[in-house]
Amino acid sequence: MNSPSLVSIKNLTVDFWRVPGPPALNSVSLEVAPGEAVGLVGESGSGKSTLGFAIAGLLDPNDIQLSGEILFKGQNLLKISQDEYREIRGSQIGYIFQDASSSLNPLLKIGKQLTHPLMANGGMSKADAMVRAKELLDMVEISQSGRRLNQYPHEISGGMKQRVVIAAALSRDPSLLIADEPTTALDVTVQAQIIDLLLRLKKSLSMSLIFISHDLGVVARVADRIVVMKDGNIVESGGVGQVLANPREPYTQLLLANIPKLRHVDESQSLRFWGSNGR
Amino acid sequence: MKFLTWWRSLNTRIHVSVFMLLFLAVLSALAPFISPFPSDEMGTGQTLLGPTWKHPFGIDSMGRDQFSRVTEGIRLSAFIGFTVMSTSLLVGVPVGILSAYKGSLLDSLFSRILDLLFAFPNLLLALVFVTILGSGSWTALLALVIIYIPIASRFVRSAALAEKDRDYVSAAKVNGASTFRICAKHILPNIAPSLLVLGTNIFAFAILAEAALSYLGVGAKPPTPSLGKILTENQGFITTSSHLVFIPAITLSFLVLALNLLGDGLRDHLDPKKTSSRYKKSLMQLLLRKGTATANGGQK
Amino acid sequence: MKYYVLRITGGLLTIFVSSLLVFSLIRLIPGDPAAELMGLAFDPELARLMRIRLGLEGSFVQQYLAWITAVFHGDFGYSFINGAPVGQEIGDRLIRTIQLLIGGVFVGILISIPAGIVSAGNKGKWQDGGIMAFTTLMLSIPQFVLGIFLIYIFAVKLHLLPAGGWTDPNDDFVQWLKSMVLPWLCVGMAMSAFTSRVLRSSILDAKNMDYTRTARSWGLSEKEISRKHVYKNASAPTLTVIGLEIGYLLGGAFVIENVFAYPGIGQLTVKAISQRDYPMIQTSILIFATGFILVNLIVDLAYGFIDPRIRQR
Repeated sequence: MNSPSLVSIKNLTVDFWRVPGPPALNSVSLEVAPGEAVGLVGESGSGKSTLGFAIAGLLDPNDIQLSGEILFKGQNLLKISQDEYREIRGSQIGYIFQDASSSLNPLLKIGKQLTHPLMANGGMSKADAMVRAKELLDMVEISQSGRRLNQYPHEISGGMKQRVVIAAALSRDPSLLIADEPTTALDVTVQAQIIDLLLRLKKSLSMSLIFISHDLGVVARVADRIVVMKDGNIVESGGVGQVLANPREPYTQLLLANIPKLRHVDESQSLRFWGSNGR
Repeated sequence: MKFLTWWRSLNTRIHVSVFMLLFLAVLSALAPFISPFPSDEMGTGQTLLGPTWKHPFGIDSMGRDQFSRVTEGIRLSAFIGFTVMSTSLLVGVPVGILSAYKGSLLDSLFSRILDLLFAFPNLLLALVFVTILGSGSWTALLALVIIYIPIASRFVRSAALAEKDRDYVSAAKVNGASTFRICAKHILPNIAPSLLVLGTNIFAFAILAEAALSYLGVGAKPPTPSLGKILTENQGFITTSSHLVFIPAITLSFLVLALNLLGDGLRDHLDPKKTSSRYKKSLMQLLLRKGTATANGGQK
Repeated sequence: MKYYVLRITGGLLTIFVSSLLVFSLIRLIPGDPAAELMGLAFDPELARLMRIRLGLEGSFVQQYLAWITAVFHGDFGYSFINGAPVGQEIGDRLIRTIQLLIGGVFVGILISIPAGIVSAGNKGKWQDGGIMAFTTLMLSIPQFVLGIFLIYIFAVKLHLLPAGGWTDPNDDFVQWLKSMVLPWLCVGMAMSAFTSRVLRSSILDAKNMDYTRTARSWGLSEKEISRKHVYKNASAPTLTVIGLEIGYLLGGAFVIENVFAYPGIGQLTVKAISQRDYPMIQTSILIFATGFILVNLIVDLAYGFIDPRIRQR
C-alpha cells in the first residue's frame, strides 16, 4: 500500500458479557486503504457484523468488554469520548443496515429523515438541507427525487428504500461506508442494481467500502480484497482474484462451493446445493 | 416433591397472589367460627363500634357485625367473579374457536355486530341491562354474564385466528382430522395459556363491575352484603368511624389486586417476553377492561 | 382523505344504530309503564292517552320516527317522575359532566406523560419499579374506592378541600375550583395508571426499533433521536390507548359523580334507573353512547393524522 491506511484495526477483541463462550471478535487485525473495497465474508455468527458495528461505534459499551485498537485516519476510536465518536460516525463513517425497510421511520417523510441529521449535526439551514437531500436522492439514482422527499417509506418500493438508506448514510460525505448485507433482503435483479450503484459511488466519492455479506458471489463482484471470518477470527485474507482462484483455507473452499452454479442441471448437484444452502 | 419443584418454578407474582387469595379464602371459611353473628342481624351490640375482639371489624350503624358482612361480601364477590368467568369461558371458548376456524360470512357479520355492540364501556352496558331486568344481585349477575360472553368469545376468536393459519393446523387438516378434532385437540391447547390469563382478568373485572353496580345502588339489594353495597351504607360515617369504610374498601382492592397479580404472573410465566411486544400485552388488558378485546391487541 | 370520510360516516352510522338499539331496549322492558304510573286508578282509555303522550303507542317504526323527529327538535320527552321536560334537566348536567371528564383527562395526561417517560428512561432502576408498582396498585383499586380515599385524606383529615358537591363558577370561582380538584384527581389517577404503562412500553419498544438504530448510525444524539423518533412513534399507540381509556372513563362518570355527589349526567342516570324513569334513561344513555362514539371518532382521526400508513387504507 502506498498511502497510509484509512482504517487500521489491531488485535481487536470484543466479548459480550451476557453471551457465554468465546468472544465475538478474537484479536482481529485488519487494514483498509483509502478508496479500497473490502469484502467481509462469513456465515452467521462469524463476527463480521460485530466488526462492522465495532468500527462504527454502534456497540453499547455497557454490553461488551473491549480491547485492542481501531485507528481511523490515525486516531484511536476506542480512546475518544462518546460525543466525539458520534461526530465521526455521522460525518466520516456511513453505515447501512441489512433490512432497509425497517431502517426508516414509518411515521416520518423521507425528506425529513434525510434533512434531520444535516440540520442537527451538520448545522445546515432547512432550505440548504432540502437541496442537499434532493441531490442525494439524485445521486443514488432515484427518479422524481423532488416528489420522493415528500413521500413516506411505505409508499416506495424495497429497492428504492435501500437507495434512500444509502443516500442517508452518504449525506455528509463520509470517507468510509460500511454496508452490512445491503442486498440480502432484495430481489436478485435489484441486488445487481444496488451493487452497481455502490461501485459507482465508491469511485465517484473516492471512499472506502467495507461490504459485509455471507454471499461470496455478491462479494466477488464488489470487493478488491476479500477477508474471510469464522468464529470471531480472520481465517483468510487476500485479493479477490487470488482468494477465489486459490482458496487456502478449507472453510473458504466450503463457502465457494456454496455459490449456486446455474450451468449444470445435474440432479445430484442441485440436490446438494439445496441441502447445503437450506436456511 | 414434584409439586414443590413446580411451585418454585413459578414467578414471584404468582406466589404472592396465591397466598393473598388463600388468605382471603381461609378468612371467609373461618368466619362463622371467629365471629358467629349473622350478617344481617341488627342490634348485636352498640352501633358504630370500632374493632374489638368480639367484633374484629366493628359494627355498623344498624348494629350489624362487620366481620360477617365483609367476609360474606368476599364470598359473594368470589361467587360472582367465578360464575361470570366460567360461563363466559364455557360459552365463549367454543363459539370463539369455531367462528375463527370456520370463518364464514356468518362469522364476520356476527363479529362485526358484536364489535359494535360491545365497543361500549362495560358499566354503561351493565346499567342498560339492569334497567331492563331490574336491580338485584341475580339480575346484576345475569347482566354481567350477558356482557362478558361476547367479550370472551371475541378474545378467544382472535387468539384462535392467530393459530388458524399455522402449519400444525394445516398438517392436521391434510391428515383428515375433523373440525372438532382440530379445534379441540390442536387449537385449544395452544391458546390455553392466554385463556387462563383471560379468565383471571374476567374474574377481576366482573368483581369490580358488580361492586360498582352495588355501590350505585342498582346491584345487590339490602340486606345482601356486597362489598360495594357495604361501602355505600357506611360512606356517610367516614368522619366518625372510618374503619367501617376502609375495611371493605381495602378488602375489595386486596381481592382485585391478588387477581391482577395472578394474571400478570401467569402471563409472564407462560409467555416470557418473547412472543408479544410489551405494548400488545398491556393493550390486551386495557381492551378487556373496557369491554372489547383481541388477543393480538389489534385495533380494528 | 378517504380515511377521514370513511371514519366519519362510520361514526354517524354507529350513532344511528345505537339510537335504534337504545330505543328498542327500553321497549323490551316488561310491563306497561302507563299502568304502573296509574296504579290503582287504572283506566284503559286514560292509559292509552298516556301511552300516546309517552310515545309508546303505535308500531315500532312509528314510535321510533316520532321520537327521532322530536329529538331533532330538541324535545326529549318528559320525565315519568316529575313530568318536567327531559332536555332541560340534562342540559346543565351534561355541561358539568363534560367539565368533569375533560378536566380529569387533562390531569390524567399531565400525570401519565412524565410518569411514562421517567419510568422508561430509568428502566430497571428504582424510579421505574416504584412507578410500575404504583400503577399496578391503581389498576386494582376501583374508582369509587379511590374517590373515597381521596375524600378521606383531603376533606376529612386535612380539611383542605370539600368532600363533594358543586358550586357555580360564576358565583365563586375559587370554591368551584376547590370542589373540582378531587374529582379531577380521581379521574386522572384512574386513567394515568394505564396510560403511563402503555407509554412506557411504547417508548421502550420504539427505542429497540431498527429505525432508532439507523438514526444512531447517522450520528444523531440520544436527545435528538428521542425527540424525532422515539417519542413521536411512541405517541401513536399511546393515543389509541388514551382514546380507549376515555371510553372507560365515561363509564366511570357514573361512579365518580356518585362518590362526590357531583350533579352531572351520571348521577341523573343512576337515579333514573332506580326510579325507572324511562324517557330520562333513554335520553341519557343515548347521550352517553353518542359521546362515546364521538370521542372514539376524534381519537381515530387524530391517529390518522400521526400515522400516515392508516390513511392509505
